[in-house]
Amino acid sequence: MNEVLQVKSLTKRVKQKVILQDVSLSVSEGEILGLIGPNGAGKTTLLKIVSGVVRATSGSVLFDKSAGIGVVPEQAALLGDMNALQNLRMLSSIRGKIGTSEIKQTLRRVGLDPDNKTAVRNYSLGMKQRLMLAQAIMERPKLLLLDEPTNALDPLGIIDLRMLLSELAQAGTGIIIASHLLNEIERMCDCVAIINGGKILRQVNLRSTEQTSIEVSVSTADDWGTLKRWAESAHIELEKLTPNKGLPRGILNTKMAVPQVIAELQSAGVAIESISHVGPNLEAVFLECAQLEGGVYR
Amino acid sequence: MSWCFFSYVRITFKRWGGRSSLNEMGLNHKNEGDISLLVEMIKFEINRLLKRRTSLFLGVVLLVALFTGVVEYLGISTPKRTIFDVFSFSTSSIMSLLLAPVAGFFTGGALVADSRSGLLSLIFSRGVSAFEYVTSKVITSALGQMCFIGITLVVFFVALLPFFPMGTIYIGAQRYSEAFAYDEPVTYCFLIALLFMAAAVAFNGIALLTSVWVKNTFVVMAAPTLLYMGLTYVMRMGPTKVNLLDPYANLALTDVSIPVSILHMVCYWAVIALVTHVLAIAAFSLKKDYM
Repeated sequence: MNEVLQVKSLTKRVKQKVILQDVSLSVSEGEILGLIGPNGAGKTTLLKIVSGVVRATSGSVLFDKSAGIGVVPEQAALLGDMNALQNLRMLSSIRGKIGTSEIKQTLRRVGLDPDNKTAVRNYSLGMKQRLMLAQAIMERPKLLLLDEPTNALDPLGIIDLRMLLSELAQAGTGIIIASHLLNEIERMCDCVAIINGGKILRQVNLRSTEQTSIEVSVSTADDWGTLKRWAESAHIELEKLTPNKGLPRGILNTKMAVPQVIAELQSAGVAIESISHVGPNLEAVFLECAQLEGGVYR
Repeated sequence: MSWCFFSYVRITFKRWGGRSSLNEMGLNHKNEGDISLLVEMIKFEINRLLKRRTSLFLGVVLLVALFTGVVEYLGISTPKRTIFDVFSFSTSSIMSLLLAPVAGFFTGGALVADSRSGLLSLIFSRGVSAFEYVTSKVITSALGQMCFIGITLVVFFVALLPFFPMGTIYIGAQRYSEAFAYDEPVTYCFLIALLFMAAAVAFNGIALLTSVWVKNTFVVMAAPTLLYMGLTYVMRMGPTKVNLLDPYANLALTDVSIPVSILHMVCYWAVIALVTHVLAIAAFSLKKDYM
């Protein structure tokens, strides 16, 4: 898959303070990358460098300039005297790629009324955030940078955002989201980069197809024995977990999909009580990487 | 990885002489595209300027102030009250006091406002470079200042027409240019309008240059006034005056002991305007961080 952004060995120093250190990452077409980390970790600085408002001390940023970048900054940046349509018309006039009909369509897509004549300064925070999203996606950029996009959005707004980003990703847009909301990141993103102290500590692939974890509960100890023998014969790693309500259970690390495992176990004669796919535990990984103590950001 | 190299742009940051530089671009990066982007940015900035309601308010404030100059003029005896006489007297006495703050408030905070609001990131993300952005800002604000002062003076002149007859200048001009003003009142009035327009652009340049480093809108807007007052004070406190450099004398058309022409004064402010704007473009383009 084509990459829409490649960041190589990016370093940013302000006087003696290191803000980013040797950061490298890439985003492919249709990929949603989450950036998570404590306050001051360097997430916003990284997005600002990619969007061009901050220059790095060293390193390189490679992207398609002709397609532009859609940016949703942390704080809404709009012309308060004008209404939503005027704001977007003004911004779209810079590149001159789209007309009023496309702008109106984008406004409707983010849940705003294009005929609303209210000045943007009188908008609620949620409406401003939707408008920021509209200006970012209206010119159909190949790369979208979102800094805390769920800020000020109500639950419905967050669901809308999730659906919209999914649609954009399916259409081939590469997306980077910086957020503190681990649940949302886990739901929206394909891959997560954990950043702390200006370094990328770990990248977690949330949609890995190479190996998945499947949690299985069986009815009896005999079934557990059968399961264990089947796993050994199929060369599948089986990790035993503490029994739940007396039912033996474990994790199977396999490339097989859940329906295939069910079929295999049934033919082996294992009575399955429950079976489910288990994704990576982002919170646990984040806590480990960010070295949090007592649930408090450091 | 399948990079289509020619359609991509590579921005490389390197440590070079203590500052970073944007020094490598895609091979087919079109320069003509940059020029069109600059033109679009200028149009964008002009649209924004035209939508500003404060421009009208500032114009009204300036007109009211100019009419107070007319009131002062009516209290002074003169062989004959003429429109050129009252125009030159009122503008020379009021503009020397109000031009710096009005010019500073008109467009001085333009750069810092975008930076503080975050609008800059939306503009840069559309492929506009720092140079294109600041150049469009400089051109637009300079043109805006010229139009603002020019239109205000034209409106003021037209408003005076019903009340004063045509005729020469008697007291409106100062000693060094008395003869010229007497013989060519129309040209003289045109030149003082040009002088104030050039000075307004110079004050705009001082504010823009300040805003490259200062992020407080009010400090930026007040910077031309503070500098103007400070320099005027310094020029007047010494035992030997360097009148040619005195900003007040070169704007108020007074107290010039060395005979100079009014055209010299226009050039004086035009040079300051050019230098400050070029410095603002250079300083902003070379900045490391814009937010």
